[in-house]
Amino acid sequence: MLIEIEDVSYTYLAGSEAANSAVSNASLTIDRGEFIALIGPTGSGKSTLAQVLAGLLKPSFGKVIYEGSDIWEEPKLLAKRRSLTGLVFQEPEKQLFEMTVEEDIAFWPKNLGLGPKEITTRAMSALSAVGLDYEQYKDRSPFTLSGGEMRRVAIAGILVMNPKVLIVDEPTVGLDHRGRTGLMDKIQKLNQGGTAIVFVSHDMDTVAEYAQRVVLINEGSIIQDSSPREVFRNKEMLNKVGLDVPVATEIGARLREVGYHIAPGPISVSELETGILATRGEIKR
Amino acid sequence: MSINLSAASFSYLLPKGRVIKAIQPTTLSIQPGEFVAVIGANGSGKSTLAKLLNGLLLPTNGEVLIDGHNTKDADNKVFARRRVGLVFQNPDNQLTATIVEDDVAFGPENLGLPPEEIRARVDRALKTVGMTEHKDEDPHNLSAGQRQKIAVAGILAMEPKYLVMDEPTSMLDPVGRRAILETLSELRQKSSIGIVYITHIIEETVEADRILVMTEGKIIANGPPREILTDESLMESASLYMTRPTDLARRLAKQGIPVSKDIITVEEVVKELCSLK
Repeated sequence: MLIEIEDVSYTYLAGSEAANSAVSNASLTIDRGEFIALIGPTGSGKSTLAQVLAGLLKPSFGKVIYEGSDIWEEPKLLAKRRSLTGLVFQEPEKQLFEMTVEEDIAFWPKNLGLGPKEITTRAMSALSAVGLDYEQYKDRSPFTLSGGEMRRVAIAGILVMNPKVLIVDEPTVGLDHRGRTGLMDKIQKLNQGGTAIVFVSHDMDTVAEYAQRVVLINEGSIIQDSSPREVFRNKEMLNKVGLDVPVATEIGARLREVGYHIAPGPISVSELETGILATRGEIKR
Repeated sequence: MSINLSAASFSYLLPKGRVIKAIQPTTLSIQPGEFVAVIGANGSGKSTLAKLLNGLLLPTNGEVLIDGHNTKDADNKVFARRRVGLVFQNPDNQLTATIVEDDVAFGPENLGLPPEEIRARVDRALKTVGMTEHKDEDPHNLSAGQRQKIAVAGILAMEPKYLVMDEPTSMLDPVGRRAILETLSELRQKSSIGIVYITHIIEETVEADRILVMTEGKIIANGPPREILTDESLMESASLYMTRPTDLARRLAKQGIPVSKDIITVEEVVKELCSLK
């Protein structure tokens, strides 16, 4: 098991009058190579949970265990935290600050004391993982890049640490269609290469397309942890917490209501298409 | 009464004399009560266009008139900001106070309104975006999506005649997103506010009066949603995607199922298939 969190709670401004509980009694495990979507309504605690998983926020209660060791019990595990998990914040391009793309990506490895050769090798592979050519981009100022390119550089700045678990908080917000599919395909490739992904999102269609497992959080509590198909079966519950089903699921359900014999729960347009074509006999020409 | 761009263009000047033409000469009119959606790839000039519409940026060439007032005239600055409310892409560029309701009250206070009117507007705006229960909190302790709702409330409380919104729902969950869109549609009908709505989520544009498609600083198409969203080569050339209902209808049509290729909504695709049953 790469990460286990046990009965974790996190309260902002704990002890003060303004104390605000963001996550309560959450337990979760993350295994090698998983692709997990963390979904929940606005303000449900997704980003807080992501930061607890990444070892950036110390939980008020409960344990965070990386490969068997409690990271908050053993302060020496700080370096391990950096190499096991990487968190890409919402709008990470805001954290770009160096003069060139290469310097920005080299920031964490330099801090860890890696040698220049090792850093260059890693920077090249991190940039190529996000689909950017090292030679073409290394000397450019991050601030002259497009929104999608900036986001990719910021992600490369995390990938350069070779995390086994990559946590990305709403990575596609503000990106256009091409930027969005390009980035998600890169993340999927990383996953196929063995990196576990935790993907925080509001976009149910993207979740349906990429995730293998869905963790649903509402008001700070994990209320479901299952396959996308399972989660999207319960439209009523999703609507109640502020979410929805993918468009294909919605169309499939409505067609069933009017008497089409479509198997329940298509989650993508191509699945739905297959489902409708299977009912060809029911369709007038 | 309308916002009028006549041959308005905008260029950013970079160091070393470099010039980036963000908006090519553009002529455009936005009427009160209209809902105009703007779509286009990153870097196509959508956000720059938004800032031209309320005078935050002044055109390099050409003019922008807001209900007859030229934004280039320094005396019209306050008028322009009051007439045209701009909701930024990123709420953090807009939030200033440390208490939610103070933040929402900031704009109306600057309008010099009586306290009871300010109170009423703030309450109404917070209720509209569903943030009443957070009114005493510090926006900085709220989530990104909640801050986005506060930013929208702050502009709604100004009760502008035109609203320009730059991806106002990008961080919201589906129900929050629907609530904002429903609010806009009500505002448009009740108070005939003109709305310019920039988005990457094509599904949000199906109920617009018209859609502007931008590439490389130019408006390359301007028409009703059905005409724009079903024009495969236009959408492709602007790096945009077809909505899932349109995609499905086309796939089915290719397989010989007689559904219209002009479908843009879930309702329409269900209705068509229903009629074939």
